[in-house]
Amino acid sequence: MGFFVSNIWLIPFFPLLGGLIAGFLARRIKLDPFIPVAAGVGLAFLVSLGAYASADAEKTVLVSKWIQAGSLVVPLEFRVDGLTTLMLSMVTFVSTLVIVFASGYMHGDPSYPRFFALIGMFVFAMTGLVLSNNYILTYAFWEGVGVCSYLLIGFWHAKPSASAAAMKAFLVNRVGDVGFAIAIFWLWSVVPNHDLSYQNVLAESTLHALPEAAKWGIPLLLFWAATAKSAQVPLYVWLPDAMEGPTPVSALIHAATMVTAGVYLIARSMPMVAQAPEVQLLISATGCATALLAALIALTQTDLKRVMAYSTVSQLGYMFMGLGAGVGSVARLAVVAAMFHLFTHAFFKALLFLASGSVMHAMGDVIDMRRFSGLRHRLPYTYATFAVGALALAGIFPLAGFWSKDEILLALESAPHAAHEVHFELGWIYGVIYWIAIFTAALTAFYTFRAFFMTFWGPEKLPSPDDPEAPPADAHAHGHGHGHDDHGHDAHGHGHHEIGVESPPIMTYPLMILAACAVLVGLAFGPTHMFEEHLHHTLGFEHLPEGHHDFSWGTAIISTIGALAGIALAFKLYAQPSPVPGRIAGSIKPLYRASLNKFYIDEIYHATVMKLVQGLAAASRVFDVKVVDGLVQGVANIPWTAARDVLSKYQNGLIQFYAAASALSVAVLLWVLLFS
Amino acid sequence: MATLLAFTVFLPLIGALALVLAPGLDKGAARKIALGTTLATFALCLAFLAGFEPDVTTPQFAAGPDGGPYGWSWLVRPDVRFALGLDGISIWLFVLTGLLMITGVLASWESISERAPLYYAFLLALEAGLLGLFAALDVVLFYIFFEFTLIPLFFIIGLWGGPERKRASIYFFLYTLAGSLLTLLGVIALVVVHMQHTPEHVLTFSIPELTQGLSTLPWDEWYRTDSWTSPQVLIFLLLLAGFAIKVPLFPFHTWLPLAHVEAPTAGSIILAGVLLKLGTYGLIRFNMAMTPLGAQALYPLLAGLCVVGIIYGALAALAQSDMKRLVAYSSVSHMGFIVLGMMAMSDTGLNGSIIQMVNHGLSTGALFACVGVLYDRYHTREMSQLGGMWDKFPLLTFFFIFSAMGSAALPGLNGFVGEFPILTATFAVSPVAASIASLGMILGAFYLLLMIKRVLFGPLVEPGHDGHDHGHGGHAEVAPIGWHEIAALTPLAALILYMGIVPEPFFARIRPAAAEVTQVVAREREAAARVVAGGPAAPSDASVSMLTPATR
Repeated sequence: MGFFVSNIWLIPFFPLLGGLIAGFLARRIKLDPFIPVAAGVGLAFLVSLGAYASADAEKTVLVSKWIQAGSLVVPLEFRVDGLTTLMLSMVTFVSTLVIVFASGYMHGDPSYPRFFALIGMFVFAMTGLVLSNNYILTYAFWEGVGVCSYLLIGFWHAKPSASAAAMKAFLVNRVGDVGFAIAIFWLWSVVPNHDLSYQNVLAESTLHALPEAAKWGIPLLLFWAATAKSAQVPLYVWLPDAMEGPTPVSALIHAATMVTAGVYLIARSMPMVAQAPEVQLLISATGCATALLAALIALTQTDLKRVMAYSTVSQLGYMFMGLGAGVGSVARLAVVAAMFHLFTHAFFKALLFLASGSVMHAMGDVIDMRRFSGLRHRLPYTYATFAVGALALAGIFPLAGFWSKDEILLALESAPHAAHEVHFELGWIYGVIYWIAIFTAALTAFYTFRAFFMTFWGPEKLPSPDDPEAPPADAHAHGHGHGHDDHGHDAHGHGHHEIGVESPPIMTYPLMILAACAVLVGLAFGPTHMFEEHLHHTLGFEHLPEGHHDFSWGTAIISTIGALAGIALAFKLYAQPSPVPGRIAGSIKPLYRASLNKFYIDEIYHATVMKLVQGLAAASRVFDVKVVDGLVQGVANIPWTAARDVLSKYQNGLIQFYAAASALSVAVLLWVLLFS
Repeated sequence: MATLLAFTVFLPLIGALALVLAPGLDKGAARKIALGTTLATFALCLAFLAGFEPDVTTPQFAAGPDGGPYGWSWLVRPDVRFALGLDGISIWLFVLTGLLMITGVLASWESISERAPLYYAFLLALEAGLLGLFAALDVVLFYIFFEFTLIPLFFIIGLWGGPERKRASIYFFLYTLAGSLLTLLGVIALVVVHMQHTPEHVLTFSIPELTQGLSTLPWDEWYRTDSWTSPQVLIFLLLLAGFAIKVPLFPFHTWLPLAHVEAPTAGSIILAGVLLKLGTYGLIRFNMAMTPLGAQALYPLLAGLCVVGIIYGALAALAQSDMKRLVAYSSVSHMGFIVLGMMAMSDTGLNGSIIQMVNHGLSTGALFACVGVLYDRYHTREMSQLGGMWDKFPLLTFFFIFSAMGSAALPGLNGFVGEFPILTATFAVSPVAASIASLGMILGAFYLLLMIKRVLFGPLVEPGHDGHDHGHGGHAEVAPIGWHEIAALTPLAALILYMGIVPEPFFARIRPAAAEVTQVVAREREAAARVVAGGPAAPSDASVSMLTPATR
C-alpha cells in the first residue's frame, strides 16, 4: 500500500486539527484562524489526490477500535475505493476554495474563529463520512456533519430566524437519521457475524441470504435517511431555510458536499438497492417529484440564495432520478450518472452560491433581487463567473452540467426497456419520469437565467433603504454580524465597506477557479470515460449489471433545445425591465401564489405534524399532573382514609385488645411460614 | 485493598462528622472540608479503578477468599457479612459517584450559605451511602445502604430546596420507601427460596452466592413461568416495585420532576446522576441476574412500559417551560432506554445499558449544573424569562450545547455508545419496540434543542428587574461564570467527549461482567427448556451449559 493509502486517516485528521487550532489556539498565538483550517483542508486535498490513484475496490485501512459492546463491534476503519476517493477529492478541493473565499467574506465578523473552527470540524466529519467502511461509522459521521450544519446555520445565533432554521435543520435530519438507525439495527440482526462492514454487508452471498422483507425494507429505510440529508420530498423543507447561515456555508455544506451524502449512501449501497426494483422506482419517482416541485418554486422566488437553494433541491432530485433508474442492465450506468452529476454539480453550484455571496457582499448583505439590478459593470468578475455557473447548471454544451445531466437522462431513457427485460412491470413509469426530467431541465435553465438577468442585466440599481421591499429595520442596523447589532457595534461585521464594489481578489480567485472547473470537469471526465472507469474500482460495482448504452443524440438535442428555450424565455422576460412577467403572474394568480409561497408545504407541516407533536406534548404534561400523579396521590390517600374510617376504631386504647391482636398476628405468621 | 475499600466508603462519613462536630465553621471552611473530602474519596475511587483487573469476573478488592464467603462476619446467625467488593458493573457507578460528588460540592460553592456545614455533611453522608451501596456484596448491607441514601437527600431537598421543598421531600421519601419495602420482601423471598431448595439448605445473604445458587437451583418449579404466581415472576415483580420507582419507570415517575424542581442544584445532580442508577443497578443485580426467567416472561410488559416512558417522558419534557422540569422528564425518557436495553438480556444490550448509566449520569449532571449556573444568577429557570445567553456566557453556552448533544446521543459523544447498542439489541428481540423507541431520538433532540434555542439563541432576554436585588444596573453586572463552575463542568465535558471517542476502556471492564449475567440467563433458559420438556432442571453435565451463549 502506498503512503497515502496507509495514512488515509490524515484526510480527516488535518481539517480537524486545523479546526481545533482555529477554535482554541489561533487567537492566543495571534494567528489568523483561517490559516490553520485552509492549510489543514489543503493538505487533506493533497493526500486525497495521492490516494486517488491507488483506489481499489478491496482496499480498507483499519485505524483503531471504537465500540465493542457485546456483539456490536464498530471499528474505526476506512475504505479507499473509487467512490470514496472521488468524493474525497471533490470535497477537499471545493472546501479549500470555499475557505479561501470565506476568509474574505467573513472578514471582520466577531466570531471569525468559531466560523473556521466549525468549517474544519465539518470537513473532518464529511471526509470521515465518505471514508467509513461500515454503516455505523458512516452513521456517526452522518450525524456529525448534521451537527456542524446545525451550528453553522445558527452561526448568527442572536438572529431568531437563524436559530429557528438551525433547529429545523437538525430536527428534520434527525427524522431521517432514525430511518438510517433502524436500517442499521435491522442489518445487524440479519447479516453474518453481526459484521456491518461494507464488504460483508454488500457481499453477494450476504445479499442473497437476506430475508425477503429486509431485501426491500432496508434499502427503503436507507432512502428514508437520504431524503432528509439530501433534501428530498417530503423532508426537503429544512434546506431552503438553511440559507440563514453564512453564504460560504450554503455553498459548501448545503450545496456541494453534505447534502449529497444521501446520494452517496444510496450509491454506496447500490448492490443492495439494485435488488429491490420497487424501491428503485420509488427513489426515481421521489427524485422526479422533488426536482419538479423545487424547480416550480424556484421560478418565483426573489431571494437570490433561495433560488439557488431550491435549485440545489431540484438537482439533488435529479441525482436520485438517476440512481433509481438503475433497474436491470442500467444499474451501473445509473449509479455512474448520478455520481457524475453529484460531482459536476458540486463545482458549479458552489460557484453559483459563492458568486451570489459575492453579490450579497457587494450589496451590503441585501440578497433580494428586486432591490438591485444591472450589476454587470460594477461586479465584472462575479458577473462572468456567475454566467459560467448558470450555463453549466442549465446544461449547455460543453459545460459540466451538460454531460452529467445527459447521462442521467440516458439512464432514464434506457430504464423502461431494461425493466421489461427483468420483468419489472412498472418500468413504463420511467418513461414518464424521463419527460418530466426534460421539462425540469428547461425550467432549470429558465429560473437560473431569470436570476442571472435580474441581478446583472437591466438598468443599474443598488439597494437603498427606501425600497418598497426593504424590511423596516434594514440597512444600517444590520451589519454583517447580524444580531450583534444590539450592542451597537456597527464597526464589526462588514457593513463598513463600500456598497456596489467588486469583491477583493481573495474572493474572486476562488470564483475563477471554480468557473474553470465548471467548464472543464464535464468534458474532461465525461466523454473520456475517466469518471466511469475510476468508479468501477468501487466495492460491489463490478457485479452490477452493465448493458451497452450509447450516447443518445436524441436526448442530447431535446434537452439542449429545452435549456435554450428556457434561457431565451428568461432573456425575453427579464433581460430588461418588462411588464410581461407581472402580467403573466396576474393571469395565473393562484399558481403564481402557490409557487411564491412554496406550495404552502411549511404551513401544512406546521398545521399537521408540529401541531400533533405539540398537542401530544401538552396533553402529556397535563396527563402527568392530573392522571398519573393523581392516581399516585389517590393510592397514597387510601391508608389515610382507611385509617380514619376503619382502623381508628381499633385504636381503642385497650391493652388487652392490642395484645390479642399481636398474638393473633404472630400465630397467622407462624402458620403461613410453617405450612405453606 | 479490602480494608481500603471499606475506608473509602466511610471516608465521606468522617468528613461529614467533622463538619457536624467542628464548632463555628463558616461557609468558606465547610465547603473546603467538603471539597477536600470528596477529592480524597475520588482519588481513592480512581485507585480502585487503576487496580481493577478487567477480565476477572468475581468481585475484586473483597475481603475473604476468592469465591467467598466475602467480607467480615457481622451478624453470626444468620450469617450477615460486611462484604464489599467491586465488579465490572459496579466499578463505574462507584467512580461516577466519586466524581459527581465533587461536581455537587462545586455547584453548591456560592449558592449554599445557610447552615453550610450541615448541608455538606448531608452531601457527604449521601456519598458514603451511595459508595457503600455499589460496593455491597451482601443483600442486607445493600438494603441498608439503599434505604440510608434516602435520609440525607430527604434533608437536602427538605431544608435547602425551593418553595415547595417540604412537599417534595416527603413525597419523594414516602414514594420510594413504599416501593423499596416490596423490594425488601422480594429480596427475602430470594434468600428463602435459595435456602429451601439448595441441597445443603444454605442460608446466605451474599449476592454472588445467591446469584450462583439460584441459577442452578434443583427445583423444577423455579424454571416455570406460566402463571403470575410462578416463583420467578412473582419475585421479579416484588423486586421491581422498589427499583421501578427509583429508576423511575413510567408510570412511577411523578416524584421525580417535583423532587428535581425543588432540590438545590447539587441535589439534582446527585439525584439524576447517581440515585436513579440505584434502580437500574438493582434491576441488573437482582432482577436480571437472579430472576431472569421472570424478566423474560414479563418482557412485553416491561418493554412496553419502557417504550411508553421513552416517548411519554420526551413529550412531557417538550411541553415544560421550567428547565429543571424539562431535564427531569428527559431522565424519565433516558432511563427508559437503559431498562429497555438490559431487558433484551443479550451481551450487547447489557453493555449498552451499563455504560449508558454512566453516560446519563455525566450528561444529565452537566445539564443540571448548567441550569444551576443560570439559576444562581437570575433566580429563575423559566425559559420564557431567559434568552440570548450566548454572548453573555460563551463558556457556559459551550458546556450547555456540549452536554445537550451528549444527552441527545450524538456520535462522538458519550450518549451514542450506550444508546446505539441498546437499540440494536432491542431490535433483535422486538423490532417494534426498538422502532418506536427510536422515535425518542427525534423527540430527545427536539426538547434539548428547543431549550438551547430559547435560552442561548436569540436576542438577550433577562428577567424583569425586581428593584431591590439589582438596583441600578439591572442584570448588566451578573457575575461571569466562576472558576468553581468551570471546575465542575470541565471534567464532565471532558468525559462526555472521551467516552464517546474512546469507549473501549469502559467496555473492556463491562463486557466480562455483562457476559457473566448473560451466562446465568442462558443457563436458566436451558433448564427451563428441560423442565418444559418434562426432564429434570439440573443439567447432566453442568460445565457444558456454562459456556453456551444466550439463545436469543
